[in-house]
Amino acid sequence: MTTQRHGPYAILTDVAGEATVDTDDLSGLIDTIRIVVPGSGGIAAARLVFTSKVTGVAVLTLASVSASGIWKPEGPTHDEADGSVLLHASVLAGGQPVCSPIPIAREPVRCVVSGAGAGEAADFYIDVIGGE
Amino acid sequence: MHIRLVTIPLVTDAAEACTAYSAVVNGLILALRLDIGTLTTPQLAVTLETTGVAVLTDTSIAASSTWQPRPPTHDEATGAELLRWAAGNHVGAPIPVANERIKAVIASGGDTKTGTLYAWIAGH
Repeated sequence: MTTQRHGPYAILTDVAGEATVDTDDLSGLIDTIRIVVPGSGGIAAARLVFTSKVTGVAVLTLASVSASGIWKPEGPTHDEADGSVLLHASVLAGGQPVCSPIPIAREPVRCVVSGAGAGEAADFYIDVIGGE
Repeated sequence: MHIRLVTIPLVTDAAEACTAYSAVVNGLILALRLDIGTLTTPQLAVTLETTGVAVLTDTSIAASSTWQPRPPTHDEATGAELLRWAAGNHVGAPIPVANERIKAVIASGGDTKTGTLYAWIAGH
């Protein structure tokens, strides 16, 4: 098992406070997304949505990012019999889904930024386990 | 871990149905995604062609969706399903596939509609 770190990928918002940044083609299990917000001129209260660019798989949605952070996104697993989400605890108790890392193969991850100010910056990195 | 993306194009006939196959694959099925395209609330049944192993069944799919199918694991002493809590969801594991094709069957998807099923396979 190997871990590949991809990045940094530079975010720089336009006058509308938006940006779209694609990574290189990634293959493996998405392990970590790290966002680095500079102390000056960094994104503030920005919405960041990460998806796989070609297949459209949701990877991570962050409603308001103003500071650096590390996220380990995982997607829900499902019952093969009916497609329902598998839960750690009972439905009545509002259980959390049983999750698993998100696979990706030979496609970029796309980061769409909105709701930031004009000319604001950040970098992000994606760590992927394995490859193709 | 090597991960491969397998793409299965789906085109329904006048009976609003289709059956389509992947290439022969090997490994663990980590995830499936239906790009719904022009399909209209289809039923989807995914199995392995030769062995008939059930991979995923879902109905009335309204939008593009992603699944990570994990069928039950079992107590080696009794064969009973392992559960996360009493009478609760099972403890699942990815489905292995060896030298066979993934079979996708669409029903009630609309007349002459198109979509795409993606499968991520860990292995070769």
